[in-house]
Amino acid sequence: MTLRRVAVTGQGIVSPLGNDPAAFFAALMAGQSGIRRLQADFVDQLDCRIAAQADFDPLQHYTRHQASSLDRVTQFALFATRQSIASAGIDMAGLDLARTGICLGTGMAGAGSLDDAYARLYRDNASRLKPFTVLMAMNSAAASQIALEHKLRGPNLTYSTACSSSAVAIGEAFRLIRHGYADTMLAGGSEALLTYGTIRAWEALRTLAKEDESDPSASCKPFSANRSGLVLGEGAAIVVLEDWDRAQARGANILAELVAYGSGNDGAHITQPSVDGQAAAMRAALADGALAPEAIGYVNAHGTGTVLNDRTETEAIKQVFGTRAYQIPVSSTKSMHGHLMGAAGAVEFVACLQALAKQALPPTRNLTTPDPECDLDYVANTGRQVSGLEYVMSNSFAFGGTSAVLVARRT
Amino acid sequence: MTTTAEVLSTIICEKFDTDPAKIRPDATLDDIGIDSLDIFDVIFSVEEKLGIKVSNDDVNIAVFQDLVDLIDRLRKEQGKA
Repeated sequence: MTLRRVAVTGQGIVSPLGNDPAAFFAALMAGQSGIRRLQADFVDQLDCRIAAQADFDPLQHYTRHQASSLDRVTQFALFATRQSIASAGIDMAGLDLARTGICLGTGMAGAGSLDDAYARLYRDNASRLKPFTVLMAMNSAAASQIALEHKLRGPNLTYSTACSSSAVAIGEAFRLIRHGYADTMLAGGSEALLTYGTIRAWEALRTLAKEDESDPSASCKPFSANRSGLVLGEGAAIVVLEDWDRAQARGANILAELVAYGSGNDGAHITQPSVDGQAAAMRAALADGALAPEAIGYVNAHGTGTVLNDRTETEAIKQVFGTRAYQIPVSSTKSMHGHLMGAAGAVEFVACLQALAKQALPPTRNLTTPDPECDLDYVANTGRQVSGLEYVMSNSFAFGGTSAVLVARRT
Repeated sequence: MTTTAEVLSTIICEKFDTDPAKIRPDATLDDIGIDSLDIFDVIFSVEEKLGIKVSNDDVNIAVFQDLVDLIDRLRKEQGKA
């Protein structure tokens, strides 16, 4: 069977740095940070009071009833999808909707709805819960609402592999088209976990960054010796993937070609990343696209800002790229948009699409005191204009061990 | 005192941005523009607002007046009229 090529034709985003891809990327290039003091009525009860929140008013996009019956994770996903479809210029009614679907990644899905429900039950002794609680909180809610809104009858799949969820979703959607199971796929991720219960759970794991006393926006410092952990973020990103020939035939503006997806599992530890596991996923992606390591011109790192992640990823990149690892720009945009967990891979894939289009590499912010064990070119602090950028790699590695690596090519 | 019909009408209009003119005694859920899932959301709000409990077995609504009659009966039975 001939493998089909896959075009990326649409992109949409809700992020701590703006709710459209161009604004998001411009903010990244300008080194702006979406990390700030959390705006929430429970913030005083937290130890960790910083986060990367999206500026998103549901009533601008939905009716009151929709806004109250859709979890924030679904609200983000639906809006990012609308943007993505609009940017792709697709007439959905003209598609074979039985061959059109959605693959969505999310880590904690309707965490806010569950938090609200349990607070009512356990704190307020409520006798019953909102009738939509299950439909709002279920892991597949966001993907299903997207499928409903656009009348999709093809695959409707939700992936939950923690921090790699949305990279997995994009990769699996890519395979569905490539292998002929679907012609057009919406793919990406959404996360809205800035709830009291969820943040307290993350605090207990002791991986969250301390607030930078002089500048809260600089609290996430990947690859830096003075890093203190990750910063939770929220948002969504959705791309439109199409069978290449169909996209060309309809005269679509093809943003990039998705050429490779590598995935695997560490099989080593529930939180500690593995050099071999990460390297294997990057090699799998290169093999999937029949690419030489020399082809890759930029790596958007997983780059969470934890000691273990930064050093492990650095070592894995060296293992895969050898001495050339020192010549490949690698940056962690999480230093600016935070860690969007189940949406991280998709948001960073949009950053990669923009990097290809604009021939520009976003920086790693807050990298003023390099960790001696992290000695690659991390595009420290200042974005960089480049020329001849052809292939970009986006890394996503997860608690639990699932790795996902995507490679896109400029068109 | 606010009538049950007024309470229900207000809840439905606020929740679903429904035109009040559509809420007539003989209006079906379809006429009002809500479905069988939405009606549970309405009942949830009515329970909170009036302090009554509605059993699932009681919910058999064809037209708006059925809902009014049900809630009226429960308000009386449960001393919340």
